[in-house]
Amino acid sequence: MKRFEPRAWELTSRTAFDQVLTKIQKRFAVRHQFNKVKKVVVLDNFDWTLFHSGQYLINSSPKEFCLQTPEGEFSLKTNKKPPLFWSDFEVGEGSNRIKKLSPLRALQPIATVRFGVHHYQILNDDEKIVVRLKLVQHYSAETQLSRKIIGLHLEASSLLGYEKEFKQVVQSIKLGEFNPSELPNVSQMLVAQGVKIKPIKNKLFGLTSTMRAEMAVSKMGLQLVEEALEHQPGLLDDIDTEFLHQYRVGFRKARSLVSLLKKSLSPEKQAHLKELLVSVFAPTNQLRDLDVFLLDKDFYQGLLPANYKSDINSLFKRIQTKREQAFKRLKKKLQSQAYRKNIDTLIVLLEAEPEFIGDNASMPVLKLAQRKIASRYKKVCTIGASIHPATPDAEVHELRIECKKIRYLLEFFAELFPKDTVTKLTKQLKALQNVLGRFNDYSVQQEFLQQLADREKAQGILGAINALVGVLHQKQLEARSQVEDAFVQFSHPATVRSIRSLTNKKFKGR
Amino acid sequence: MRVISCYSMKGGVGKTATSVNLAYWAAQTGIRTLLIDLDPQGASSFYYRVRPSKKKLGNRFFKAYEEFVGQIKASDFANLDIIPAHMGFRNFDIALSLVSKRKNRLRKVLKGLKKYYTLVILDCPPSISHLSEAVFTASDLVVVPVIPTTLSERTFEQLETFFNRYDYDWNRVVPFFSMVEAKKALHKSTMGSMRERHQQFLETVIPYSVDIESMGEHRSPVDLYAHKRPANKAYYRLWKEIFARVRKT
Repeated sequence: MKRFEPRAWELTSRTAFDQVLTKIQKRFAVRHQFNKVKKVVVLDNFDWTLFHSGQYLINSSPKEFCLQTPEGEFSLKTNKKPPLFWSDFEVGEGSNRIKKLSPLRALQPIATVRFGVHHYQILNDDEKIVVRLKLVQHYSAETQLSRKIIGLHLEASSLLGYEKEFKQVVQSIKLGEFNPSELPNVSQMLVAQGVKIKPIKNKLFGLTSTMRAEMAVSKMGLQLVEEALEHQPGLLDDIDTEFLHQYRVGFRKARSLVSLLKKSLSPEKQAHLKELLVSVFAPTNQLRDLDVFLLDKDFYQGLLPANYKSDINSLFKRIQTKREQAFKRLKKKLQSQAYRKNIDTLIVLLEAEPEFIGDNASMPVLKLAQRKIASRYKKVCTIGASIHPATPDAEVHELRIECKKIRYLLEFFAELFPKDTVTKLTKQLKALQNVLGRFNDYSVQQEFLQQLADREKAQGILGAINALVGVLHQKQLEARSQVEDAFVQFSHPATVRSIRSLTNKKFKGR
Repeated sequence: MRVISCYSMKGGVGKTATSVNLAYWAAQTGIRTLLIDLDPQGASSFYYRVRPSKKKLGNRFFKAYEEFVGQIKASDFANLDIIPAHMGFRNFDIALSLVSKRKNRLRKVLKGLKKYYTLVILDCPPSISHLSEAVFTASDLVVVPVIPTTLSERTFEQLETFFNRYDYDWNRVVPFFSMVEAKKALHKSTMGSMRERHQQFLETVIPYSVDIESMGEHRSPVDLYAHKRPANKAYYRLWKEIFARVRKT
């Protein structure tokens, strides 16, 4: 079937449109319908993930939401008010798409758009609609009195079988000499309104290979701490668990940076920074442990047969209560004078002029990074090669920690190396880390449950905890048995080659 | 894609009103619908304010799918397109009498539309002819409005005889009572006796109503000007009942 695509223009003024309308009215009758000015709230998560993927979650009336995507619009329903998670919406294509983009993050209003839509039906002698016109007036964000029109677009749509009439109407519009332009999407409307678009997270630090190590470390440390602090307001409002997680990621990385590149700083400065970072980070541990456990409810429920369900539910209720208490404690801490002082000192230290006292302080950062990656890699190889089925768990944990250090070093200095090599190496490392990570997770989970059991009196809950510990122990053994294999995979000649090309150093293969 | 035809050997039984309102409700439900006005009198096209294109339409109609598609026009409603009546449709019978395997022709032509439509509704002329036979072959359901009078009863039974004689599937025939006047004793008794003999009658009854008669004046489906009236609600219920049946086919 031959259908005409809709045509659209950006109009210069309302008067110009009225002139066009007069021309059309010479040939056709016109029916006009105006929908009153619509206020539409755009929602997104903290990172604006939907926005950056070209999808917009729109709320125009209570409970009614719509996800606009390049593939079409999906309506969504919920009885809840923002902040909203994907799971708060009725199951459907819309909520599935949100789940993919924002599995853990809550969605909150990020901006408001106001526009009015005029519909014009162009009619023939039978009063049959032959062409539809849509005039979209986009208003500025101000209050009603000072509101201005900041965009005016016209779209003409054809109706099948009325192509001749469509051409005639388009001809009349063209006399206005308007610029062809699509109807604006949400992103364009926000830009036109002057809304500050949240940029995609920048992973670069702005390093150069000859930058001196102390300067590089301070710069990176400062950026990591600042990124962590961006999540503090959301953490205090307890909007979603990712705020705490990202807050911790930033501080944990900063702490690793300061430890891994110890000698780029003076011993005093290094020790002071480390102490401050630990004092900020440590109080968050308990809340995060509880969050992680709660997020994995489905996993735990799946581990045990159905007759444990009510006991598992009671267990989760108990943990939820603990979580609320832990949150209150942390919140109090984050609002304390002492915490604020620590953060201020941290920033002052990281912003301070370099002292160039540390042993490696003046070394070009690239050279130092190469040296560090090489030495960490050697260590991983030494530990890894010595692991056999009877190796104590402590050594496996050590291997995991060493792998993590290389991973951090690769992340920190990625911008100094060829992208392909870093990507390839990260992938190889990730496979090993996944096995080690599972091994560690099962162990941490058992420990967590064991602690709960020590203080638990309800027999049912105790039963569920013990059963879970048993299953997790089996799973840990299973993961443990995969470690050797995973290490053999990792120490493949390809990894050696990648490390060699990255660090310019020679290594023996396996 | 499913095909529903509105058919009756008798004229003036509410066939066109049924086609127009069923097509409207189907489209409103979100089903991509094509209404084909096969009646040369063009009443359903008139109700939707659609005129046939001036392109000549000859004996080739059932041969050329493209020509068929070229006749399609958008209605004023989302999801609803129309092939308006065409004086050339008079020649269907002649056209069909000339081609071999004529019973399957319409079915084949309609098949090509399944990428665009989920439902096709055929508004048929009141007669029994080559065209009607092509319609019976092409339809998943044949919806038959029946006025509960003795004469209509006879006509309905003639249709049954015809279906049996030529081996069409009588199970596809879905009759319902149309233009019913609740006060008339004859209507009541006829409905009772017919329901007993023909189990396939739909529950819904379309009343005799000024609101349906005035469709010609408004040139639109009843819902647009008599939203809250019983006749409109009856058509909606009729659609729901037919929808449930057609899904099972």
